[in-house]
Amino acid sequence: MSAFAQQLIYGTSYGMNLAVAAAGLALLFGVYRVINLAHGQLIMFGGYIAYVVTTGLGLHFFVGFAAAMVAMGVAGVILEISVFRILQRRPATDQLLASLGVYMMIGILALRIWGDFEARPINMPGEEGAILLGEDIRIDFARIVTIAITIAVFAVLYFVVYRTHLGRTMRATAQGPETATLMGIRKREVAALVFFIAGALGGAAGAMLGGLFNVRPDMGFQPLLMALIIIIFGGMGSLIGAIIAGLVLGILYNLTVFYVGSKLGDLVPFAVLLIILMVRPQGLFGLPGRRA
Amino acid sequence: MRGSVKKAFVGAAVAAGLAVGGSAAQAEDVFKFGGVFTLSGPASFLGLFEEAAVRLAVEQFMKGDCIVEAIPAQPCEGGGLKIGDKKIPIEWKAYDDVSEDKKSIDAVTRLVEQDGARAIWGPRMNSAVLSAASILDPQSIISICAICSSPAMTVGRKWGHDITDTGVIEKHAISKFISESPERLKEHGIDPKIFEGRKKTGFIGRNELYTVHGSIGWEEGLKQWGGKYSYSDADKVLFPQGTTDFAPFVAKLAEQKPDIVMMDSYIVPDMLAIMKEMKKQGLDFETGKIVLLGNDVLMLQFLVDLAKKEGINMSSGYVWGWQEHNPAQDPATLARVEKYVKIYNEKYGSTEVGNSSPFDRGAYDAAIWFLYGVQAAGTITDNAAIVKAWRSLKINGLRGPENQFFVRPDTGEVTGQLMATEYIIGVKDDKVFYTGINYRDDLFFGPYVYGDKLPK
Amino acid sequence: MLEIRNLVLAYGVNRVVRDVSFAVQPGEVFALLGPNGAGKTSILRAVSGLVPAVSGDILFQGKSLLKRKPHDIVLGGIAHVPEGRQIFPEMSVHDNLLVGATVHIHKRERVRELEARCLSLFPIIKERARQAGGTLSGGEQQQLTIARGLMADPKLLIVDEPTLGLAPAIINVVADSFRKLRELGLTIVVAEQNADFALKVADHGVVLASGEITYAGTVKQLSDREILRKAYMGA
Repeated sequence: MSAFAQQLIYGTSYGMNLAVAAAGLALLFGVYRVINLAHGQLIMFGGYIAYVVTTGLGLHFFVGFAAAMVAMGVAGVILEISVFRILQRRPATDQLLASLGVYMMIGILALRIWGDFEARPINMPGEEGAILLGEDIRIDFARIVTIAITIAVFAVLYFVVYRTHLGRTMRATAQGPETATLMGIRKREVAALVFFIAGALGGAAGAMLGGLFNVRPDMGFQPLLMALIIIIFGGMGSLIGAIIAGLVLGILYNLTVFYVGSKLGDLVPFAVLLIILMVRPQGLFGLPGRRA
Repeated sequence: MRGSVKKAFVGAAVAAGLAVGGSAAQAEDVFKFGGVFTLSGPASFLGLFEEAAVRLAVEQFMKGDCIVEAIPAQPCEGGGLKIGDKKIPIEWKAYDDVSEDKKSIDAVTRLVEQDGARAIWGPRMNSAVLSAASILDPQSIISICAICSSPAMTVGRKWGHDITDTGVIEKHAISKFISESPERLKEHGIDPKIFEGRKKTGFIGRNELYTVHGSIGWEEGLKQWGGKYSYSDADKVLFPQGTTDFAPFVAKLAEQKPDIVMMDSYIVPDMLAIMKEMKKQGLDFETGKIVLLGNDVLMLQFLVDLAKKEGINMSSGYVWGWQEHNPAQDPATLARVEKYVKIYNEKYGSTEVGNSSPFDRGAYDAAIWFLYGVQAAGTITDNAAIVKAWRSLKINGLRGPENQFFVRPDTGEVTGQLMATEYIIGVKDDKVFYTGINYRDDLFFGPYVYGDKLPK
Repeated sequence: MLEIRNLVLAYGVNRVVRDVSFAVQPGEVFALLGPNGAGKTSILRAVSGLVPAVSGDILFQGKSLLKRKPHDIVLGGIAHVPEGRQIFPEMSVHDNLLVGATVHIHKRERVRELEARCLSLFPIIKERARQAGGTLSGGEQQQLTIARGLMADPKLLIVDEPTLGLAPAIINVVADSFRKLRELGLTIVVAEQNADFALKVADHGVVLASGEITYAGTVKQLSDREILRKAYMGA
């Protein structure tokens, strides 16, 4: 039983990291109708930014975390202006392929700067300590920190999207892009905003994953894959869906590795994907037939 | 793009002597030697140095400054391979496979069919090794690898050469070490209490063939050396490539409550992350809760330094591994290494290849050894003669004196597998050190070493 | 107030509006009548900057609207209520209204006044303020889109097919609201297939058939069914 509880804790922390990563993708798809594969590399690059600021410059983790968010937010805006805006009227496959190209380019860039042999540690608060529950259950402070950060990030995100006028313009654009234009909403401003927030969420996920397990050039791939499945699972474009699906997937992944077999962990996300596509293709929080 | 990509496609270094003859030289006047390496992408760190070392070996051979000596002696006069009275230049050409099997096989095919290579170095990945074998073996093309660490290079193959150990052989060595008698350990200043009362072993690595071979060697070894330790193959923990959160995998390992953990990974970021998480989950090698065993990458000084930077102390006396390279060598070997390292570092130190490490030295050894072999055969076209002559040579190389191929005790056949010596290494005061214990002849047993076919 | 001069619009090579001219006077309700596909919606979209003009001009208060961005046109005083009750279905009624006020959202006092005005014009929305837009009935949604348009504080309100698919009782409510808006001094351009609705609310208008004007003048005259029939047939 305690082993189960322990896996729930690990799964929750992993799932929340994934949810942050997926929320960025969900937002981009929801408002801008683009699946940005380069998001995975923003996660990775965000990890490196946090590494440079905390380990390199010796500043506090939260400074590095904020720097990762801002830097990747700006990177997101640059991507929108330099790639996606140009491809906006092109078929979705063109955008997808372009984002894959950007994924590769950012990967090569990071390799050039930081190399591929070393893991880069990020000093995170609570790295050493843990709370022990009974004999066997331990909750690492670092995981408590990431869970707390995730909750805070989602609280801010919720506030921005549902309690500010900027959020209203984003939601309006998502639900009726042309009508939103008729309301005087500037498409480009919303696009920049959405790409900024999505990039920042990627940076946040990277800083947290890097804080738990070092920063490395290939760290963007698994979260990207999981995030893609999460947004399909949660309902394309749904933030709450991303959070719940992220948690479910993270926990399921951990339980499978632990109870079924370490080699089978990777099966979980794809099995979930298949089942979702067959049973509820619109995802948990997607409305049937709303989005083609 | 990485410079190395361009480099690979341009066709890499052509030896100096070739300039005179140029492309007009006829096939039998040039010895064509090709390679397939991962020169770009995340796995390029496994390919860049190997390609660089082989290229350097060709250049040094053409210059007449081989550094490595053959036993019995072979001339290294410069200008090419000395075949009869002629000097035959060596042409080296390498392709980048970007760590993709398909590109590997394309490159192998191109080297054989278009470039007319008589011997091919690489590819490295296990799956590519097997596919390449199916192209190369039927055409009697010699294949060589100095970092493959795979039984697939030699077992059941006539033309394959593995100039390093394999994941199986090295596990035979480390399992032997932990099964040593207290007396032997004491002799070498190792406290036998480290292993006292330990029984259960656990195994963690990335889900790939190297690790699967490693776990087989580990299980074979534990049995071979007296069965003091238990191991369950069903319990081995294999994590997928690209894993970011190691917690569930380490938890699965911790649940087995092992006394000894074999961490079979050569991916530095993975290793550091696993070690960090092991400490958190009570698999503590700093206090001796467990003994942590790792491989030759774990026992690299730079890894110990990196670990220290991350707050991981490997100097507790409970962390052990091996190296194929004796860190405390005889003066003649040291002199060779010193000379080589100077040349290598001057050439590559400031490039993306980087400074010399034990791995490029092994590749350099192997390349010079092979060229001596061709020379000793007195032919550049008869591969059967080349293989026979090469395998009967030994070398005094950069890894140490008297390197030789493994001779099967049952048939007396000389195989293409290097008879690697494994030196047991520990860490003390943040420095790796050689324990004085090393193994060689004992390690060569089992179907993965000299079977006629790779077991399924 | 609004003047369309020799306007030509096209989708690709297909000319959907051919040399159309008319003028809307301040304070009146002006109707664009005609069957489906006559080019009414295209003209309205061109006014809002969604469709570029091939040739001709669109003037608002004497200044050309061509080459101005949609948000700029809204800011200039033209609100567009698109056809098909394009509310934001997953946003609350209140949020829908606020989105309408985007161009001057920072003027909090003004936004509050505008909202109060909208809610008094359309009391039913007030009851539904916290509900998601998508849960409203068709008539309520139509009232919401008009109210949302008013939140931009326009001088000219463009309404595309407000009666489409609505029950007669609801159509009367919409007609009532037009009268009230007119009393507030708003100029309204309404595109309609339903000539009876236009007769109820509009002063002047044009009838369009296949992208050309077939009738221009007072709407009252169109109560003569013969004139109306000829205009619709494009004869």
